[in-house]
Amino acid sequence: MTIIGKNMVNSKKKVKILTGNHAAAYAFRHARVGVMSAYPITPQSPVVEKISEFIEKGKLKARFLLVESEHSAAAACCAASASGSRVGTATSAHGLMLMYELLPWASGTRLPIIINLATRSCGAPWSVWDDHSDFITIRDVGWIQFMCEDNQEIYDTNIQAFKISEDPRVNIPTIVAYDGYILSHTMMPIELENQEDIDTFLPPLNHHINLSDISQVKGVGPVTTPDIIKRKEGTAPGYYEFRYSLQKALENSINVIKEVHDEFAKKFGRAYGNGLFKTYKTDDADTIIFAMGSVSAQARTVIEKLREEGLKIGLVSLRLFRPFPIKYLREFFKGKKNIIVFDREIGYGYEGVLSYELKAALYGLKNPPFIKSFIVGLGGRDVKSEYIIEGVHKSLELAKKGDIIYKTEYFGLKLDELKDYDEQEFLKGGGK
Amino acid sequence: MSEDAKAALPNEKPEHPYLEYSVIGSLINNFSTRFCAGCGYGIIANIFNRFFQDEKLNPQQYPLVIGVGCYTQIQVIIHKDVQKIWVLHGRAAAVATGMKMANPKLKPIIFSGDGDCLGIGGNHFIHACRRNIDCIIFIFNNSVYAMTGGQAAPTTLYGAKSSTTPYKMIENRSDGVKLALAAGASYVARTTVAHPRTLMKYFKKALNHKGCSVIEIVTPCVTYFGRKNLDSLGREIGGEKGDKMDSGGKMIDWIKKVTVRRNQAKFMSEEELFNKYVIGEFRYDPDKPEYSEEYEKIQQIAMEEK
Repeated sequence: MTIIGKNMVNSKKKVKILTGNHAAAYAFRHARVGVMSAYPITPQSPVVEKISEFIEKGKLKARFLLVESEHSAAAACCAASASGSRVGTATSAHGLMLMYELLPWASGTRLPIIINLATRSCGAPWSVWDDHSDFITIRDVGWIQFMCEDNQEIYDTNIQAFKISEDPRVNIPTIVAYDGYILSHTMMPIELENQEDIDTFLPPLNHHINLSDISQVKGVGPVTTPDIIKRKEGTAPGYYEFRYSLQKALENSINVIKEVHDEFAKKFGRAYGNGLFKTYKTDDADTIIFAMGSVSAQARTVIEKLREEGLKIGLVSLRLFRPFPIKYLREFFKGKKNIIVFDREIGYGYEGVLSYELKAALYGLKNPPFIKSFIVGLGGRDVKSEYIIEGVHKSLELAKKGDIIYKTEYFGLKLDELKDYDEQEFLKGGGK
Repeated sequence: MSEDAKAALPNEKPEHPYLEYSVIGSLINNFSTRFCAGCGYGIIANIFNRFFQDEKLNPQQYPLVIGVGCYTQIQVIIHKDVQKIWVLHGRAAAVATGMKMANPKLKPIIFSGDGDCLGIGGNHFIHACRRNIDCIIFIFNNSVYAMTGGQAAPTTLYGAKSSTTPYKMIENRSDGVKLALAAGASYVARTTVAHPRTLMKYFKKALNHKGCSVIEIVTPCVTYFGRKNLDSLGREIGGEKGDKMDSGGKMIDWIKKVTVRRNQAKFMSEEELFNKYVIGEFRYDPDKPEYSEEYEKIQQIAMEEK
């Protein structure tokens, strides 16, 4: 986090020590969410509990729906949003996957819903611990995707997300993700803004759809055909046109995201890089670590140590994953020599998702940087500083040789310690 | 612990008759669970183990399908020979249906909670009952989503407090037994962990029954339900608001207080039965055709026609 006002704790502002989940709940309260519907899932549940507490105490005027599954929660959110209400929910891994059917529906109907995602690994096998594999599964459903690095960022990003999503140029739902347990259950001091200030920053929702006003609304979710239909009564666009407009809006949303971020920074004094990604000690650096969420938080701590070794190294922590800020990343990485990507997820059958997204974004650069990626910390395994230091050394050596290896490499994998496990051959990926 | 205190303890723990048959007992020779003090799942696991061992059930014929909830940790103390299949939240009935169709000789035993079976998996539950597929569905009803922190579930009693209903629950609860009856299960019963003998009786009957058996077991959750609620659930009875239910014993007493036998319930009005659990056997219909058997008959007809 870059703090414009220098001091983390500004004496005039209310500072509370909150977990990541409660920070998200406070953001919902201050954004004056009208309808909230969710189903409990570890590690997200405290968000919902806190909000129901706000509602029952009368601090938040909203309707809270207890539903029987995440699918119903997402459906209720879509309906409430289409009725002109400001809507939010929260979920994790399997919950998000059960919501999946409604996600392209929400983005296609252009409903500004906000989902808070406390990331968790996807089964099987069962694991409630953190990695980003649920976050990347919804890469292609047409949502704006943010990844946060600390609890203050969760609060701020949520406030910004409502403004971005509800902007008439955008009207796209947003997902705000943060690492499960690492942020969701860890306490940090958070500056909470005054309700009046938030209200001026985030005016009441002026929705493009309001089903409760039947004199105006024509309908939601029409049947479309492969081709456009021309009749006397009027012309109807096809599916292709609707989806093109979604892609266009996503592309244009980058400017809105930057705009909203800058406005937020000006008003409240807290900025996160350029709003798309955060940089740390990159001014003179030729080697860059590229990561997001908890991994970049860990990498931040080792930069100083690596600099003592004489390396010109810096960090880029990705904040906006979708739409992928291609233009800005290309500009930034022009002239850099090495990029080391740490992925807390795998694009199965290929390599780390962040890594191949970045490679694709930098395609065709003159003197392109050498990119090496590593997988770390799946299923909540510790991402240690040593891994990052070792990864940097390893890839710098490879870069010297000019050795481009597409083989995925891992840190923290403990196959050697499984000698007495009776199916170890199976885990090594072979069998007899 | 001081030396005196150590000396005062018995040297050996009282022997657990089914210790060696449980997973944890066979591993560390000690009976320990992950459940909170006062939880009812230990009782259920013990009854299951006892039954499984005494009846010498064939583990290959009776796979155990376990949903998601606190009771998932029952795997630690359940009989070590049982095949345990841990499935997604709410999908236990669907998985059991698939198993039964793939191999009609099996008789899946389903462990599911109230949130699992009547909430997120309600649809699968209804259709398993409707097809009368040969399996045993246990619904452990502790009236909250205990594993995720005590949120209100579809079975939460009216007026009860939970993490998502800090003042009181205002929704009507869903009744697993009535749902199963309406959906067409051929054996339906309800009991509580405070009545373990009846539970054993029902379990035995379900094992010998061909068709869908639904047994709802009312079980206490002290941590998330008991500690938050008084035993009157917010209503004043005789000018008093009720007692706290902050221990296993008090919750078992409460369960005994709110259960009504079926014969007794016949003479009670709707109002008197409000927030009460009626226990007993509600339907036993051994002649109702079972789905996988009927399906085989259809297959034979189709083969003959060719």
